[in-house]
Amino acid sequence: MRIGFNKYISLAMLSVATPMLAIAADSAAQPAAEGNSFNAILIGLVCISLVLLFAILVLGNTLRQLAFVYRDKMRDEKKSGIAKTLLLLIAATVGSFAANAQVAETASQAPAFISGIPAVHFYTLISIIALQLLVVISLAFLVRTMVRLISNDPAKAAVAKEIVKVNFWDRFNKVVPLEKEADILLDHNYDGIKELDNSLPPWWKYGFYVTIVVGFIYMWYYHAGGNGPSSHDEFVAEMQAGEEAKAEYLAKSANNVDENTVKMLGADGIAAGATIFDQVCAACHAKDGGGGVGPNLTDDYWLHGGSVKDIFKTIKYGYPDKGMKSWKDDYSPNQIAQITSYVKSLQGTKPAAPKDKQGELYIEASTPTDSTAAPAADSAKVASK
Amino acid sequence: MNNTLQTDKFFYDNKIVKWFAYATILWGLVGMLVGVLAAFQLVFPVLNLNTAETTFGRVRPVHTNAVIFAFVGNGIFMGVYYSLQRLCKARMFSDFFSKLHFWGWQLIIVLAAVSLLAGYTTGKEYAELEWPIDILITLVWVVFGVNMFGTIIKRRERHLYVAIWFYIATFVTVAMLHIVNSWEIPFSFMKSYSWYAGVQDALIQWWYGHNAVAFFLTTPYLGIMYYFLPKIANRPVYSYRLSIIHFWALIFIYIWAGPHHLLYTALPDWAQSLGMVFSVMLIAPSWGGMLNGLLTLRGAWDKVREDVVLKFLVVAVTAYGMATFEGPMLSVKTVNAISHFTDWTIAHVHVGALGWNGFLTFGVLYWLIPKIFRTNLYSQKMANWHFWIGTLGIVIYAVPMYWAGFMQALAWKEFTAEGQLKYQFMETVTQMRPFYMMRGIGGVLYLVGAVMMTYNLVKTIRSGKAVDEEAAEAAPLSKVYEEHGSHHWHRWIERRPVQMMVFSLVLVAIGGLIEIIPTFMIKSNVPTISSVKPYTPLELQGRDIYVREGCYTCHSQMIRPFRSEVARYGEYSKAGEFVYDHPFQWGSKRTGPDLARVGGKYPDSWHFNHMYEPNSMSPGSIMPAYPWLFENDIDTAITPAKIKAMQTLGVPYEEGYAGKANVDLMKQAEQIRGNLAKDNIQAKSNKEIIALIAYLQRVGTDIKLEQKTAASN
Repeated sequence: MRIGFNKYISLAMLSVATPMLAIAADSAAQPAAEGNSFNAILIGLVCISLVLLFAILVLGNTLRQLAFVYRDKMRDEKKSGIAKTLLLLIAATVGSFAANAQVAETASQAPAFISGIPAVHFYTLISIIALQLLVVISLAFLVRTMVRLISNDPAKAAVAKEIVKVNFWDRFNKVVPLEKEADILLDHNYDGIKELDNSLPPWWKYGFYVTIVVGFIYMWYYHAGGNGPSSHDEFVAEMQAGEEAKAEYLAKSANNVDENTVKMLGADGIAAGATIFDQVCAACHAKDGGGGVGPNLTDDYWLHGGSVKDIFKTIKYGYPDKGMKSWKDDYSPNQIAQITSYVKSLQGTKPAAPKDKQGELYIEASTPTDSTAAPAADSAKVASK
Repeated sequence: MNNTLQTDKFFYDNKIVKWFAYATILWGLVGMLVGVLAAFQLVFPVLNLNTAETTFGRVRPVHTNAVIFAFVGNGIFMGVYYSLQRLCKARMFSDFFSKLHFWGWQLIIVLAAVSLLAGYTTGKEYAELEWPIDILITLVWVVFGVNMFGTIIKRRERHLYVAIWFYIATFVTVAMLHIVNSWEIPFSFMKSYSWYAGVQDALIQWWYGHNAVAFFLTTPYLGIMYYFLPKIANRPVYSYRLSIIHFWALIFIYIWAGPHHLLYTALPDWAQSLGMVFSVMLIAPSWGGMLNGLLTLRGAWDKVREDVVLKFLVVAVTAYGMATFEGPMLSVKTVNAISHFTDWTIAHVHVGALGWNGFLTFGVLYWLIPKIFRTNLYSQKMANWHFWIGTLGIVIYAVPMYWAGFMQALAWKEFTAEGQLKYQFMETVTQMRPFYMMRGIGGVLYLVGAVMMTYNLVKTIRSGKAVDEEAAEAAPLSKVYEEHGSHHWHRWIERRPVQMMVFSLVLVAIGGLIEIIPTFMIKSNVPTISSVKPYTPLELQGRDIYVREGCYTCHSQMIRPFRSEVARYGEYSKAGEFVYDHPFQWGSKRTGPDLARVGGKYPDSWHFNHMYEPNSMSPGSIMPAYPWLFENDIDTAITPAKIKAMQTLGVPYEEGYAGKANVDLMKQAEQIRGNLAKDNIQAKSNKEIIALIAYLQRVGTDIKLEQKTAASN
């Protein structure tokens, strides 16, 4: 009886666990966004489901054993009226196992219906877990009812208690109880250390099998017959998704500024620009714009032009050969406009240690102060010599 | 019949155990103290003291080497020398070898500390020691092996207990890993280049690095657990069958897992996947050890409440279980994409090191010292305090580091709706400082516990008298052995130590061979890039300075194929870019930003100012200053030897280039001096800083040349 039951446990575990992990592996394989948290959630759900499955099996077995005790009790008492209750309970037990089998069935069908949409996996798993929870609760309720029914007979109550206790921990690890330890004590003796011959804890053993199966599936999916994406494929997909999201946002937003449309911003914009400037630009251009590694930004001489548009362009694309990096990947067009406005606002201030003039003299035609003013005159450049 | 009644009388050598115990305590304190210093250097850069020898890049390898090889190393030998004699019912094979082993190992430790602080390093994590010390380690390891096998051969116990299986596996595997990974070509008395380059060097290094964890921090300590835990708890080992399965599965599978340190790097995808799936398979074999430990305590949990030694052991085994579950999770590519390069990894290893290795060592010491000195522990109460302070220390260390790791990962990856990175790298650094502070405090608590233990044990030692020679007797083994009745099949190999060693070696060799050989032999695994050229002599000198200062302890040189990394650092790193990198410098942690494409990003003057005073160029930086690079001259006398060594390794410098290399070196140095002068910086062209700038400006730029030529065609 017992052996048969254990076989049932292992079969059920494998039949449920393998497809579920396959779902997880498959989902992890979707060319998903970097660090996709969905996969982590998925794996977590599979784990929860496995734990619940185990709880079902343990509870089911407990209930089954209790049912035998109850049957004996009924037999002793010879009360035919309660036979109906007994039948009912056994039916309930069978029913609960049927529910369990149904779970296994749902799970094994799942991969066939997946069309590559992780959402499907998610909802499948959630429904499995919900179903399992329902089963666990009803089984727990049945176990409690059963123990109550038995407990009016003191002798049987003790047995029932023992079943409930043993099942939840020792069954879990399949340990031989302390009292029966002598039966499995080996004749080994190493400096007084002896060894027992307990079986491998079933959850450990089957867990090990599952990881091996998953390993093979994974290797097959990515490197043998399967169509798993390479790291590079994942990267391409991620970049594409990023670009699309960005384009979509920029198309809708007022952020759509470039070197042809940029205008001097007002006080708020300048203040925002100042914050970024102090954080990043000051390293090379000094906090007051007086220059250092990079050129002085307060004088009238410019290496790459001094108009708002020119400065915007310089920040955006940079002049990498001369040590100015491109900032377009670090800051949005609006932010670059803010920095530009702040740099413009430094014009004519007196820095503490100004660097010598570099580049050509630039004279502004008019000096607009906010975005509503006319655009800065372009190329009002005069050769410095 | 008469034969069995005759017993040999002999003595266990407790003296050597005692020495190893003293060394364990001493180096433990040193290693932890250095760790605390390194932790606070990340909060207060001023603690780097503006001196080469006390700067983080050199201190951190001293910390890792000290705790792994000095503290845990001596702990292993303490446990092995005590348990092996008793499990074999024999004195150690040779007292002379025992002493040679002990003093040889201590000499290695001292040489390691001095040479690492002096800047002699191979630049490969946990294998930083230079070639003369590597040879010394090999010799001393052989002495240990001979002593161990000698003892096993002359044993009076027919079968080998599970602890000894673990010791044997440890011996052969560490020997294999150390020799293969330390294969290097010397070009001076204390300096060498790794025999392997780039991707291959990385694979070998992490095959070694991961299995240093497996076969230095895990298998010997499992052996120690298998002896001391049942002994102290006075309970039979839970399951002999579990021991067999988890032992063989563990040593076979562990070896394969190395590439999980290189997920999403330029390592070929197939090798990464193998590393990942074998790591996941490793959960059960690792947990087998934890289960056998914890379930052995069944029926003894009342003792655990009372006995401080058992408390230490229980926390140790639990920490082992946590770390070996977390490890496989971190090896899953999706998780690793988040965790790698962050402080999450630091938290993970410290749960293992402080919890498993540290607490197991403490537990064994608290039990062993009173036993050897035939006395009682000086203060149970103090030991209890140590237990709680130590546990608190681990928690205060680990929790902020986990938190810091998550924060870093999220901040590094976050984009704004406009498609820009949300945070500058520096913002993620300044956010870390409170967490680094907490971590330091956790470390201090743990150290305080260790100091209390030292005091407690010194008092214990004073109150007793050492039994250096412990009398024992046992019947000798009969020449002929007949098995009676039915026995487990595994008993066969338990009687045959040599077969067990050979079989272990074959098993642990398989994983490495399957991963390493194709990476070397099959060209498509490292596609060549024609524009990648060898370093110029000045850049090579600069690179060696980069290695010497341990820049890799905080900076990676490996851009992973993620949108966030490409946006932050540039095009992702390709295998072909590293073919001349002896050793590879991919790093494993980003306390500072990645440097794989730092070349050409800033002007020379930026680097000059930055290395002199990092805060001047990067306000808020926690990087130490490197003033000595501005005073030291470039060692041009060694340039020809370096070029020749590189030529031996297959780097295509033209024939006879070694003789001309210094001319090119000076020319390039002069050019950099000129660049600096343009920015009003007066520097001498023969200073080390010039070489370092040359190297930094070169890193990762070769591939851009290819794109330029491709564009112009």
